[in-house]
Amino acid sequence: MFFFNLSLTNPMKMKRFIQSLIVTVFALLQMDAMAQGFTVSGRVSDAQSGESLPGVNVFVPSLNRGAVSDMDGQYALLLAAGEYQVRFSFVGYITYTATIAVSSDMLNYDVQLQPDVVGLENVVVVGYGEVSRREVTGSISSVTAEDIEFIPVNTVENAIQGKVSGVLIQQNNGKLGQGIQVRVRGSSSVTADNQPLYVIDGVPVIMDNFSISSAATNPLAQFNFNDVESIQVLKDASAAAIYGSRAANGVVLITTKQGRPGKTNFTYSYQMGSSEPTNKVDMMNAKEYVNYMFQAATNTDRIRNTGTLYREILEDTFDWLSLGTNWRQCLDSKYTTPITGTAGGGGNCAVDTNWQEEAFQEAAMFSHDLSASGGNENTRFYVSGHFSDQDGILIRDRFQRASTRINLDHTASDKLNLGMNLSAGRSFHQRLSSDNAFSTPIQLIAQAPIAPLYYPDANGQITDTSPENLNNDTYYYNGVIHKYFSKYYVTTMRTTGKFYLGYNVLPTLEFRVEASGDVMTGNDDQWYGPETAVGFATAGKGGFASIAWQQSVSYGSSAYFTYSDAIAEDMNLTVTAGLDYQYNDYNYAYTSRSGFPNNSFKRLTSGANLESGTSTGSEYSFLSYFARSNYSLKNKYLLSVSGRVDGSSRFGVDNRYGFFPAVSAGWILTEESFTQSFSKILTYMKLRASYGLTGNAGIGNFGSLGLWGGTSYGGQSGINPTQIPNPNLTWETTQQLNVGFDYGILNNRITGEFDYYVKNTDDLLLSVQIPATSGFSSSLQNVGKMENKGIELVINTFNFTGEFSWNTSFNISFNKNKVTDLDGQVLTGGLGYNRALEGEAIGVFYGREFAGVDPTNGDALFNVYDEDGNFVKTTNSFNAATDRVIGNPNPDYIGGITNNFNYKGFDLSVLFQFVQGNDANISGHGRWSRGSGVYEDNSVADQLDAWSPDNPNTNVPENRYLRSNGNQFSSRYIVDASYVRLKNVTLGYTVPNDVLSKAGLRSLRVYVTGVNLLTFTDYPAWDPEMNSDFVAGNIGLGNDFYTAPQAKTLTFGVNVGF
Amino acid sequence: MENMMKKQLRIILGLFLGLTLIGCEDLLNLDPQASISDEIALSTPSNVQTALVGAYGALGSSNTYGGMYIYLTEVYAAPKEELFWNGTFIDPGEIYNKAIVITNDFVSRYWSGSYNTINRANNILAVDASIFTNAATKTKMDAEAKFIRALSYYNLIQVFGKAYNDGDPSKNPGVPLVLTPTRVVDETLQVERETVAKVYEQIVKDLLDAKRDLPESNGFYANTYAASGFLARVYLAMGNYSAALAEADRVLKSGEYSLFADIAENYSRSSNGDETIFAMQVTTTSGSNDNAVFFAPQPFGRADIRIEAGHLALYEEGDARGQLFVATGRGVMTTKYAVPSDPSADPRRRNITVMRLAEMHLIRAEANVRLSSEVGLSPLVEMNALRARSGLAALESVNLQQILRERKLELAFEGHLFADLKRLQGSTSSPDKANIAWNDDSLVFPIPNREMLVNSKLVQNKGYIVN
Repeated sequence: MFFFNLSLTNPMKMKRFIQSLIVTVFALLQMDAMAQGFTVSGRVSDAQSGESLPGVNVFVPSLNRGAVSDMDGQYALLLAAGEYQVRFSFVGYITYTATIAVSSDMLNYDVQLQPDVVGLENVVVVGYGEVSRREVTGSISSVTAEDIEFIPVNTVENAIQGKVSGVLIQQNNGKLGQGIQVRVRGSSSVTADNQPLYVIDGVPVIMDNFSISSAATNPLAQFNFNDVESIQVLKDASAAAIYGSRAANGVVLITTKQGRPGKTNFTYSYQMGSSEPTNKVDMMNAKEYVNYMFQAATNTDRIRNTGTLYREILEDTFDWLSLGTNWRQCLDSKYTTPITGTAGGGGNCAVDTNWQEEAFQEAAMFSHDLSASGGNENTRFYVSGHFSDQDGILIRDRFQRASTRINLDHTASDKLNLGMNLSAGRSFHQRLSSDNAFSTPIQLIAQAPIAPLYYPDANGQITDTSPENLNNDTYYYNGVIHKYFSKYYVTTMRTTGKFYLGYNVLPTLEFRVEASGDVMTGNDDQWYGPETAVGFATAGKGGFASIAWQQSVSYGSSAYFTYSDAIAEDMNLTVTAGLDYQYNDYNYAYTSRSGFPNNSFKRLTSGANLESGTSTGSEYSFLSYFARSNYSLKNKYLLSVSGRVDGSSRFGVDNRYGFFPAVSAGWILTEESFTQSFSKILTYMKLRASYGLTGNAGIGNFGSLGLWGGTSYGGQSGINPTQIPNPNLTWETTQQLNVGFDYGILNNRITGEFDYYVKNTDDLLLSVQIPATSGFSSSLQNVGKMENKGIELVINTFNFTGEFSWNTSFNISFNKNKVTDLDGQVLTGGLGYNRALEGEAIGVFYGREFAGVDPTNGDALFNVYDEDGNFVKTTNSFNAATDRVIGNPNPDYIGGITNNFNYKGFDLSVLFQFVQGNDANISGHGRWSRGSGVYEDNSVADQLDAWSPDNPNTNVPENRYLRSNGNQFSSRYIVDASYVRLKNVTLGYTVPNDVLSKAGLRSLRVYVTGVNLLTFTDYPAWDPEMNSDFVAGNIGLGNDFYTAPQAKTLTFGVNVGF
Repeated sequence: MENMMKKQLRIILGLFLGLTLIGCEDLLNLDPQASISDEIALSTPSNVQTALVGAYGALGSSNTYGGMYIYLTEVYAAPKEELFWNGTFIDPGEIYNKAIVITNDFVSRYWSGSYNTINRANNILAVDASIFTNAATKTKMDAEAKFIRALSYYNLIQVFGKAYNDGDPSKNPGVPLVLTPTRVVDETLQVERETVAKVYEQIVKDLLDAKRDLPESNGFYANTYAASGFLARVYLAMGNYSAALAEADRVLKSGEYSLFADIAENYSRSSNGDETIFAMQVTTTSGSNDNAVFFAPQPFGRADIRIEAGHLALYEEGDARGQLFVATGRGVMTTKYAVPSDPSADPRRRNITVMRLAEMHLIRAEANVRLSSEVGLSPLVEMNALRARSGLAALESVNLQQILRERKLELAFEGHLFADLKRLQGSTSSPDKANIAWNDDSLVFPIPNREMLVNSKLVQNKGYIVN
């Protein structure tokens, strides 16, 4: 043991430290050489390319000692005479163990390592440790840096979409930085959290949604995913149970890059591009709108026998909406307006505003990334900096991210290893209103196309297009005004760090302590000028501004032992045991004012009236003990047993600790001798099975306590009961059984995995309705059960190898969710039409069944069923029709297929992603924009196919102004939202080394990348990947409410290494 | 070397074990910051006092006296000739039409808001006496809690059960009587409906206790006269005129109250005045006044309740009470929940008068006429005094009909119409039905559907049972 007085602040001291370190190391080497004898050295290289491999770990297990190859691939070991097993291992290569007999004449030993194309030797990060892919007995999906680097999307979840089996990733909408729904093997909870646990470099990170609007934001948006080395998704119980009560929704482990010994490598990347919406909806133009609505009013007059009453109402409304511009000239000549008696002109309207175009903007983006990594045998580092600026496709939407990272790993002695990971990020986000606000850009489509965007001048001409002249007399609030007279700035800062220290107590026993912190601070700064009063009522009082400040601070520590040894011949045992503590503290403050002197004053200090001011806070903690043992016999029989005891402040005192055990086993069939005869066909086969328990603690912090909150009366402060105690409250428990196999066929030209699982969640944390005579309406109870069953299949093939190489990776996952027991509760969500119903998948749509249109009169028809569910008849009375399950927002299967091509420096990667069998509810805007002309909203152009005596056979009911005809919620608005999407296509060219070396560069690659370039779907609204932000939830699935389409992005990029 | 290793191992193991044993339980015992737990909430007399303030707050919520107890019962009872619901909210519209569906959310809120208040009162009544050093403190707090509970039950039984004078109150279903605080979720929350008579019995018992134990003066909180005044109101509904007379007379004789010179002074006040017996306090930051939201003209109100000609025609020429109206673009509105003198004042932030002295005069006069007595004052003198305040000439004689007419005009839109419709066995009308008798099934609220679903012991009211 050597101890150094290490002070990094003083360069002289630092220098002396390094010098003394070098001297010491040399002295050690000298000592060893003198005592024991010989230097064994050699070069490690890639068996295929012959290139030197720096950073290869050269290890002598019997001495628990080793070395690392230098930048020329050279290694040196000091060994006494004798015979040694020497292990050469390097990420991405098959580990090679050499038997070296050291004597005076054996001093040079070169090694060639075979690239591990199948990835069996790849290190898989698991909780509190890592194992090789070969030894994994659970179900773990991995994504590596190459799969996701520099994809021009907003967050890490977007980047892995379609690449991981069993993981459904759906972004709420095309607004930047918004909430994203991630479901690992289906939904496992009704009331509690359904998102997986995210662990970055061993730190369970804060996933608090800081949004103060109804639309969630993504807490991972500050994270720069170009720093990622690998992502592992722990899916089954045996992989996840080490995270105990927080693992029921799966665990996403993200590992960031680390430096390797050798010359410092710099990488600079630049990317620029632009985005546009994946789709626009074909709306009626002004002429179509005017005639469609006029016919609708005519129809209502006919049915209600009201003369021209409804046409008069419409004529008045059109005069108002058109602001005096001439709409009569585009009315068909067969109509005459009832008030002015004007015959239709049959021409074009004076104003034809395409409101949809006003919702979108030119969306440019660029990013800079600079990283450096390197180090020597003692100290390795990775540092990076990132800046990106991305415009959203919707007006005002913008997201900037700046982040830096330093990962440092230092080997102080052959026993002591320490290091630190630290990242700091800041995002600046110009947010938009939630989907249900008139001011959200997409709601502009509801405006009448005869309404001008700006006020016309005295001659009816639009001459003044200044923001001050925007039309504020539209039917609904004109959201374009928000663009100029409001701000919604959200700045989020995040610092995540970890310090760790590993100490080899014995050659076989390592002790490791980690201390981590994660600090997230958000500032939500809003201002609304008086011009926005119609869209934001409070702004009427001379402007309105608010500021919300939030901070969530997590810190934690863990300490554990890892014992790893060959306990007997062909028998390896690894045992990990330790404890973990996590604590989180959350603070919130909000103040708002109104009455600002003018629009230059946007800060609260200038507001005359205090509107509100509040602050609050909360905290939680977890204390856990865990252990895991991995046992392997003859490298073919594998057994893993793990368990975690979790205690949490969130649970009732009577139920504070839970035990989450798991067991798994694997059998590598192809290690058996009887398979050798056909090993060329079946090269690799591992059978796996696992069973275990995980928990879900994703509930509020004090759900078990009887609580009283503050209130006031008559200027005096008071308290009132807010929650009934439930001392028995505890986590949800998910039992999961997983069986599967990994395979390699035809010399591993075809490899992959297959998994079948059954997940049963018990003791659902459910907000149970109770009699209001208690003074309360609901109580959080552990009631109910849910089930998920599914299969996952992964196939990777090497179609061509050699100069032209082509490989394919395909994954497909089927999941079937069923709510099996809710204790008789009926829970609704979303827009009120999603339900959690016993015997059905979570979130099914519940309502009347649309039965088309009566060809004789144009009435919308609905189905009537009897109590046994037998069809009785159709009816035109909505009230008489029967409610039933009319759709399921959960997909039947999801997946993706990636093809990679390489030829002479050119690389092409094409990813198709698919989601199939899910239904969506477009009633959000459908009831207005496909509402049979009942309101003055503009309609989708396909509604021109409405019933008429000349068009009796149609599915579009007759248009009737101010009279319902099928615009109520029904299966008319439930549509198939399946899609196949060209998610990502990248074409790159890597400049050959011989050209580069002249320019002094290490590497140079230029590429173009496209995201969401093509979408194949029958979905009739904007984009099938959606879930309206203000109602997205566990039950609220698949609702489209003026939900913005996803972005289609094309970028050009360059990576330079030097 | 071997020794050193063992030593190191021992140190590390020691550290590790130390870590594992550091007050584990303490790490998991966290307290909420924006809330307090049951144990702390009711642990000291001053904490109980704040809980009592919270109970008054519940009584003044938008689901109770801060709104529904007044505007919703007025909308329910008023004939279409006198009042028109002009609002976009569907639920009060159903109530106005006397065609309520069982899922009506306002009905559900009326129910849950009342029981929320009752649970808060029950919490105070359940506090262990041992925490009080002064027994009188507990007695007074209990009396206030009982007052609050009685008012809640009275407003519940009015609308969810048949009237006391409708059939046999000892057989008719009333509402569940919950007299203990909720501490746990179990089957004890499934409570059946008690009879109308039992509920009235409890209301009278609570009010008698409150009358006995409350002080003569208690700021803007309930005092003994507020309890008496409410007893008078309840006895009136029960047809017990002699008891009503005695309680009203007690309030009037106390000398604590006097009529305002101008009746308009009673409305949209910021503090209690000489005529105020009990009022819900609303400040700029606390309390709700949904009566102003629905009754008051724009911009502060929604102007959803339009007063029709049939009502305006009832006032005599020169009646100051007939001046408490304003014509607006959305029709004639009452100004009882507006501030006509100050267009910039937000009436939603003004008090709601629950009980004022004029009601006591009206009860005493009515009871005296019914009982042919002249307790306190002769009915004629009493009525003429009230008329004189509103600028009307004195009557030469007075009968029951005249007193009831004065009562209707004096207390219009103040939350008495529904109870009077029932006890006086009158009739009303809806846009769809010209004559609806006081005991019609449609004049009883349905038990909220959500309650029926979660409490199997509840029986639905007759007018809402399908088949």
